[in-house]
Amino acid sequence: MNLNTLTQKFRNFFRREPEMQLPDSLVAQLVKSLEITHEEECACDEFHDLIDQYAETNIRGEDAARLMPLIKDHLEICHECCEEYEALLNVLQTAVEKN
Amino acid sequence: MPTLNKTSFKLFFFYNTSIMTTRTNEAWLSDLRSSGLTREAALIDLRDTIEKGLPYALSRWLSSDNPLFPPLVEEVTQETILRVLDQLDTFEGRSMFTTWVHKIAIRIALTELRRKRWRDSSLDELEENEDNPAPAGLFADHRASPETSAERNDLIARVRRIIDEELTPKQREALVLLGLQDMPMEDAARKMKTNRNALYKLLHDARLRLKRRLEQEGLSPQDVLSVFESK
Repeated sequence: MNLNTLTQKFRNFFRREPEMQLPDSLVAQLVKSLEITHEEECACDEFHDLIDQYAETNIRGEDAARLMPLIKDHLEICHECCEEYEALLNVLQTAVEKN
Repeated sequence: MPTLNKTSFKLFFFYNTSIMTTRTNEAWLSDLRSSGLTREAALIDLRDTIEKGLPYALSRWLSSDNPLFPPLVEEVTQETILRVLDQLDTFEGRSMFTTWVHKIAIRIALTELRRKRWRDSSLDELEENEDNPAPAGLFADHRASPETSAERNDLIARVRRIIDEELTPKQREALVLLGLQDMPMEDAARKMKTNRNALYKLLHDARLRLKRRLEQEGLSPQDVLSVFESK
């Protein structure tokens, strides 16, 4: 076995498996999310802590997005938290209509 | 205060029904922290509050006519009551107590429904992909001129290089699980041996890295997106 072959075998031994390439749609989705990415963002736990307050503020007709901008920003980014917020709004709006 | 586990929970509510009482936040807290009939009445009203809210909360997910709905409501109600009692001291009174309860119930319910939906769709996809080829990428445009395609391909390659250089392996893994496999956050977090909150922060860091790097390279997200949307 010559030196070149030995070197190639050595390199192959340490070479990682090639990573799956991200599809174009995911790259686009990621780039699009950068438009609404901020230095300071609240994570899901903090959102969950304040979502009841945010929802009631909106139900009262106040500008919750202005009063709690971090929560508003999180709603734009986090699809799952947005679903939970919409579900809570549904419950509160129904209660208001019934009363 | 007597504890309530799932077994005693079921027995308790089996023998009790209620006419709901309207309570202030202070009354809810006081009654749930008390004992005897006062606490029993509060627990019954708590159960009713949760059960009345869930059909509206889950209306986009599961019809109340669906046979899966009643067992889901029972499971979510149990879990919510236990969690409410456990976290009673964290209620700060910034909203109505019932709103606070509803948000807890919704988090529990949607976590379960997402997990179930993902597991069902994962099995379906495994069968579908055997027969159908993957859809073309977003940027595949067969009407584009060779020059436009070359420019678009160069920019895609540049953005991909940036992603490969900036993202950590964990960030890439999270992206694949959430963005590509459409896994719910709780499930992705569990797979990565972390929690939902930490997962969000991991991806926030990834987005910030990419945003800063694009800026360094003189690109805005809009620049990148507009090139690929142009004809």
